[in-house]
Amino acid sequence: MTEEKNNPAGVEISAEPIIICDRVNKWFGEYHVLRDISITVAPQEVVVVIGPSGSGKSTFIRCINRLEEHQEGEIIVDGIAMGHDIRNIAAIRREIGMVFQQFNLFPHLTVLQNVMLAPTNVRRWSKEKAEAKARELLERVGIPEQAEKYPGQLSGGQQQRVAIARALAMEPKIMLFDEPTSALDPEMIKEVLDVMQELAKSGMTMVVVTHEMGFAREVADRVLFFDQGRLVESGTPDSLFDNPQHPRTKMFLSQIL
Amino acid sequence: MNSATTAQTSPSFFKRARAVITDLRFIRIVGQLVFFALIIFALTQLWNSMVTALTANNLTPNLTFMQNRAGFEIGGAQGYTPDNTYWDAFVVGLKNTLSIIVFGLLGTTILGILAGVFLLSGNWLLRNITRFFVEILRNTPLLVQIFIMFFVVVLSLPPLRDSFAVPRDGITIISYTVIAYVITAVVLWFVLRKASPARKTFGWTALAAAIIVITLAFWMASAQPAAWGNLYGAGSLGDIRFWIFIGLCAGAAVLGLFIPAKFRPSLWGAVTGVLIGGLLFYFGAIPASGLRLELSPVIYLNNRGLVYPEVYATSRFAEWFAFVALGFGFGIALFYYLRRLTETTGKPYPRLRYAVLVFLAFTIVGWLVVSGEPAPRNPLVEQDGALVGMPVQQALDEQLITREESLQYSTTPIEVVLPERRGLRFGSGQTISPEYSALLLALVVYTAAFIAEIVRAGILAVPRGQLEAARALGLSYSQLLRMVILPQALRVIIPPLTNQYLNLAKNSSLAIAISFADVYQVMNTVGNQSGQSVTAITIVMVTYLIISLIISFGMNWVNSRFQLVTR
Repeated sequence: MTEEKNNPAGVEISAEPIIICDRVNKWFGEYHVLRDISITVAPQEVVVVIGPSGSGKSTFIRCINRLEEHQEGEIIVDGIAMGHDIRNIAAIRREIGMVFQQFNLFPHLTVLQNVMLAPTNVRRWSKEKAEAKARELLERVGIPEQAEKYPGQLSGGQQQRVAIARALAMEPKIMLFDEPTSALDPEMIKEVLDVMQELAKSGMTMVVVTHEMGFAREVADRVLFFDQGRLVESGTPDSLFDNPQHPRTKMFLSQIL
Repeated sequence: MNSATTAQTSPSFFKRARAVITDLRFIRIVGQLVFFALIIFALTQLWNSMVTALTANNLTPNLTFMQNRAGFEIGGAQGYTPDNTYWDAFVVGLKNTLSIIVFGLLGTTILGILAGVFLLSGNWLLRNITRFFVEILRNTPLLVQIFIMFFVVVLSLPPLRDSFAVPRDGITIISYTVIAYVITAVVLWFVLRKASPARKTFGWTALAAAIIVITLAFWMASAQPAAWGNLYGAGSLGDIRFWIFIGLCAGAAVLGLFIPAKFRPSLWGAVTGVLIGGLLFYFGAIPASGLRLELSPVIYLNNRGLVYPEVYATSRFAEWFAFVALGFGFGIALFYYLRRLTETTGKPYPRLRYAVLVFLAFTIVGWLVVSGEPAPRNPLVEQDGALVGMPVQQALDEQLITREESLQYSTTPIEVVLPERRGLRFGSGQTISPEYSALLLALVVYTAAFIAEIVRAGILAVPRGQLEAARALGLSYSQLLRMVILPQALRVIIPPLTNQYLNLAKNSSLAIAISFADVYQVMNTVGNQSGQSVTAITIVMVTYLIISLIISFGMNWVNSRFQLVTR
């Protein structure tokens, strides 16, 4: 769990997985959303999850930071077992940043306050340190001049970039993206994807649910295809997109490509 | 006013006039003027006919009659007698109304927010009990609720002779057993503060089991003296029942080895508790007597109201207050200094704790210093034609000095006079009347039911994504509520909350139903007595108008601070 720190960005993927999911099952009432999902993600790996809507892909990544509770199986993040103990859950959430489809910025706080909220209150950083970090991150996502504005005054793409900066401010080891571009106008999708691509290059471990096949092909180390709560097929982007094995995958890809 | 048509073809006068008349802006202005004129006309007609009618009865509306002698009693009013003027009666009523509104708003806000949060609680029982009460309170008339509060709840209290007193009048016996339980619990809490959950379960279960066993044993010994009575303090090792008891305990302890580890601490704790309790009982190590305390009651409760101590600021109060103010100032300064320090270094200091400690230290030291000053000489009173010094209490008892005069002779900054019963009334102590309590309770509870719904709706109005984003960032539940949910819920809550505040203020006039002397009840009497009903009602209306406006302005100011900034 400490090895990857000494590993220069993106050189190789270390053997010790940072996320381990072992036969994870989840039901919404009678409805079986996740069926025996077993996946490991290595540090600095970029995993893209695709699949038709209702296939359980969003539910799956929301289980990784316990926004949803799984009923069976085991999830271990960065060596911490996900249980019912709130201390474990809090520890896992500190290591994971998440970006949502609807941005979910706090509308009553300025952009800067949004980014600083968690570091000052969860990590207990000093205001100066948190603000310096926040400004650095806003610079990185390309909107340093919007720091004093409120989320309601920004465009969708700008809001999503603030959301990425807010998640990064906690210095997470893993970033989860839940359809980050689905609520954006077409001309704003690229600015968000550029930020994500830069993040992937810097060596961040990422799990991304998206419909952007171009992004998947270019950035992902591995693509997972979900259907009806099952992990149907996985592989490198080239093998999965160009040579899908499973008929369900073939059908899905033929519809969207 | 320029017409809609252009002047190129120089249209006829008629056409131009028509263009003016059909101009939207012209119609708007004329419409307003006509409406205004109609209203003025209607109001003057009403006013003139009213003044004519009143003048015919020699009752021209004016305010001079308010200087006349009131001539009626107001129950519980201090410093007011029937010889005071109508104005004085009005002031008494106004004070009562304001008191009801201020405490009512405070109480209803706290209760309403609590109930609102309960309505969203994950606890099924709590949620549904709250829902049940909210539905009942929302759907029955307030007037009925006030009567129920007054007759059923408040007047069902005992008569003055049998007042509830806290602490009890006369000798109170506190059992040594109970004292021992409390001491054990405190020690246990201290010892187990940082222990593992298993040990905590073990310790607390043991204590609970011991208490239950001892209580049960005493109860059995008194219920069936023949079979169990001689068991207390028997202490003999030859009794077969003693060995059966030991055997059962040992058996249960061994059983603990075969059950899931999760339940083991509870079982072993229970066995240990039962064993300790049983042995203490068997060897007679439990004292049956108690501590005898003679305490004077601080609070009396009866059907004439709630009587509580009088509190006076003495002539030394100002001096002590200087210490308190200084402590407050230093406390605030320290609080902000430590906060600044935390912000710059990131190291958390318990700033609130330190600030409170400084404040308390100043308060206590100030009290000691001020009380330690030399006592003043005894008051001089006239006795048999000569001035002699007499102890304060004695002079008070003989009514040679008043309570206010006695305050300059006391050594402490604050003088507390406990309520004292003298026959069928109280010689000292402040009284909250049953009418006041009933009205306040009914208003608080009724309005809180509406506020609960508003708070619930406000919290639900915050999008779920906000909650998820806050959770994903690792904020704790209380941080999430404080920093994300409440600030956003408040902007939805405040406008309808203002309405409920205004409702409470206006509903307080229902006091007349239970004869509580609020401003409306008093002015109603004034109007009836003087015949100046129009003036009296006008005064009431203006009073409520001013109160409502103050509440509205206050809430609008608060509201403006919670609105979101968008483009």
